[in-house]
Amino acid sequence: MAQSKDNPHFHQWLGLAEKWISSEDSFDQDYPSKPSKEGKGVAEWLIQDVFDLELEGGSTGISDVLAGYDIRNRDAYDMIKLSLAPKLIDGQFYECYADEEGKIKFHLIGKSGTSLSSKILYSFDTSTLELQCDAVMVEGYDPPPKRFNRDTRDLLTFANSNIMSKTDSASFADVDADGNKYPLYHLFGDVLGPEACAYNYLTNIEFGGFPDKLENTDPEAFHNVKPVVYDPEAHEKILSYVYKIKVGFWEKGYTNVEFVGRSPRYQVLTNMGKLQTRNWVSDEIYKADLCKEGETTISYPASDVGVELPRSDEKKFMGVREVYIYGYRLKSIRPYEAPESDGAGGYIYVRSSTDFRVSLDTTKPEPFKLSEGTDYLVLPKDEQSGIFKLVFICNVADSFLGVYGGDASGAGTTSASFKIDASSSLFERAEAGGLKKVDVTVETGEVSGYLRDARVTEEYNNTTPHTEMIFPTGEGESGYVVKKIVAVYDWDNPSIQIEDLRRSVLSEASLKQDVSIEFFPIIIKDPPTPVAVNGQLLDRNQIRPDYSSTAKVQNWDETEYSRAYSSLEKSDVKVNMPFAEPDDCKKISTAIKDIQNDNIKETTYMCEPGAEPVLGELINNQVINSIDYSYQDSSQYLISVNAGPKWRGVGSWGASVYQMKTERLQAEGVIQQVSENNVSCDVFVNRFGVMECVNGTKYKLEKGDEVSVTIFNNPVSL
Amino acid sequence: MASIDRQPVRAEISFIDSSAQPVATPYVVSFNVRRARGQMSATFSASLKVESDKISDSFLGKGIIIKAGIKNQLKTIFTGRIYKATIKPIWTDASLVMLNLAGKDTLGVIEAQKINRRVKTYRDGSTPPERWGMVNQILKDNSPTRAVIKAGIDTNQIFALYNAETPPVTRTKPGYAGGPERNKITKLPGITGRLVPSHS
Repeated sequence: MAQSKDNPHFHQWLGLAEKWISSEDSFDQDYPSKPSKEGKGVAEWLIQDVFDLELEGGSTGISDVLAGYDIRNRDAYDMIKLSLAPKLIDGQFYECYADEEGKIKFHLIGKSGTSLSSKILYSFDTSTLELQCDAVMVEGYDPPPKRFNRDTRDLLTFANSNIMSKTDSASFADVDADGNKYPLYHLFGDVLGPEACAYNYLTNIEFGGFPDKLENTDPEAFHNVKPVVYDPEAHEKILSYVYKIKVGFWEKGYTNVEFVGRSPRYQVLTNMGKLQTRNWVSDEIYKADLCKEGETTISYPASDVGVELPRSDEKKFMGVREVYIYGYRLKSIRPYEAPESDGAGGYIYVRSSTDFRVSLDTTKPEPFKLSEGTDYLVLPKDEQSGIFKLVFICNVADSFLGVYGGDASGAGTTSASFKIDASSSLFERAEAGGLKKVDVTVETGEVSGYLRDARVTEEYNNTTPHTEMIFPTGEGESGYVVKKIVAVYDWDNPSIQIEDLRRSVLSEASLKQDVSIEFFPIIIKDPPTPVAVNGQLLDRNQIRPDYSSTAKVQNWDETEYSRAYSSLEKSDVKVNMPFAEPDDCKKISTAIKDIQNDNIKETTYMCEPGAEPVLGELINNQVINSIDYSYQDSSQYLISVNAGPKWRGVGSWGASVYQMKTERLQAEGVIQQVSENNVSCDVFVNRFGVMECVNGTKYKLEKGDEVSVTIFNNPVSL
Repeated sequence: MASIDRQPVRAEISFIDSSAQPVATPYVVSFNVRRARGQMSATFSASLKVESDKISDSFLGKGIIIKAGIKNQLKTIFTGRIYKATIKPIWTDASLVMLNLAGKDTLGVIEAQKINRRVKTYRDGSTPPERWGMVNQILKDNSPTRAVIKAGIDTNQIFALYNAETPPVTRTKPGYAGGPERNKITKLPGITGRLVPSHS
């Protein structure tokens, strides 16, 4: 992961995120979700400019521009009707006809009265029983998705706040017992002790999880608690995250910073428990007794064998990666036999209370990595508890087995006592420089000297017994003095792994002070098509899965949204108005319902020759739906006017113009050009040509990439 | 109760862009004009008696105006175009023929016409696009390296970073990779003791 010392590194978006669009508002300026409605209405444009017809003076400024609606090879008269439909928002229902003079006029239906009354000769009523219209559903403009990012959040502490935001905190404590303790700093040297700080060149900062794993789908959490990064109720979803990483001590060539999926946890153990013996099972291989039977059969260790691994029964415990012992090496271990005079000028060697005589070079501890299977096994403690034990394996005679290793009681460690073998381990300064072995014989008795590590501040002798915990190797002829045992857990939490080869930089203090990791979510907001029924907007969230722990039952059949769709009947109306915003849908559905449930009576009026009926005008609260002029036999002239409900005369809401759905279309294309910030690009889309497209992937796009593109608001062919 | 009175009814049909003379009662035998909501254009049909030697011009596509009403108070009831014209002889009067006409009003020219008005993308940066697509998937990456190695934040696979300053290798290491292996007898430099010259 590269970065400069002073500038933050934007993980996976280096060089791009700096130029990122910053907010929902700025995205809306570049890509307006509500198209501009300025310009000439479609109906007006068609009549005057396309077909060169004369539009009646009072009909200008009535039709709508149908902003954002892509008209491609559509019927001209349907488009005229569609561009008049938005007036339903104001409760006005317009239709387009030519008047008797041949001028095109947008007729306002059912608003103005006619002067026909005095010209009526007679009339008669007809009527048809119609089903009541219970529901009018209007689907509106499907706004295109937006892409923007929200404010940065602290990755290292994000999990704390997120977990704390849950109302049911107890259940989350079960998931993660570390609750709000993040971040956790893991430094191997600190675990070993102050003298081992040089081992702090590889450190991990553990945090509670990547934000995508901590997504809180509870809308209440978004509105009430800041750390939740997106609002599912507002139809937002996370596309990806950009990580802004700043490491103050970063130095090129020395420092390497990486995300790792899991975290090491250094668990310090002070006890080895009783050691597990090995046996020969072939000519060359030792196997622990535990593994010997049937090879794959796992036996449970005896209660005094091995040491329990703390927290190994938790869900995030994924196993033991490695085991270190922290101590120093005993080059040889021999049973201690003290010389005693045999009374004849010689010596006999007899066993004493001291266990061993050892050879060693240093008592300065250092970590030694053990081999799984050879030195230790990780085994379940028993069948029920879920706890694992770390069992150390050795191959020593039964008579010495109890001296090695630890005490499973936990009260302390089994202590082996040893004295240092002077002839092989103790040195004195040589006058010529360097060290030379001390002179020692049986008669010498106690001698003192330095160990081979040449630390001249400390002297050792061959008579002082040392009491330590010893882990034997081989057949027990060598081994290690164990000061500490470090089991490296594989813990199911992500971490930032920082490696710095200078070895003097990393400490918990420097990590806390100089390392900051923020993230900001890239959000795709994709509101659904608004749907209104009888003047009420339907809430799409009603059919959004509720992940709240308090939701016991999810019965979507009972939601208003689902029932609106499932209860549509033949007499009900469902229309698509691809230009209508949510509030418009409400008004249109109300207007249509009023129109639809108009009176059902129809009347035919016979009028005098001088009558001048006009379509759509009111006569006795009925709308003039048709006019027939009939002239017969060179002398008989009759004007017949049919008046009735406002809607009935037109046909059906199922007519194509009111069913002009739009759809989201998937098409493939090749990227021709990518913007500097990688947010948008020009794509040659098959069947559409070059189109500007927003990057809706979490990847960086490059010229020449073959991509899949969603094109929205594409009219459905009817 | 209403009663029907005898009234002097007249009709007159004239032609636009045609040399044909207007035809009036009694030569207008009959006509029907229907204008209805839901019907894009009003329609007419008419039967006229005209002198056979005056039919020298084609009526098709020509404009027509129909007026009717009480004598001297004729009202225009239809203005449109002739879409169909046929003639039939009149057996009782050889000098006249029956001209049958039918057509639609001025809005009839829109019938069956298809139109386009595509939304625009302004590529000069002056105006936001009216419509845009959204790339939602990379089908084939133009970079062969990226095509086979997926980038991900918790992968241990190597992937390339744009404009990287140092070789951007992301890898997952074991918990403590640098530690000495007990069985390999490796020691960290500078940690363990070594022999040093004694002080003179």
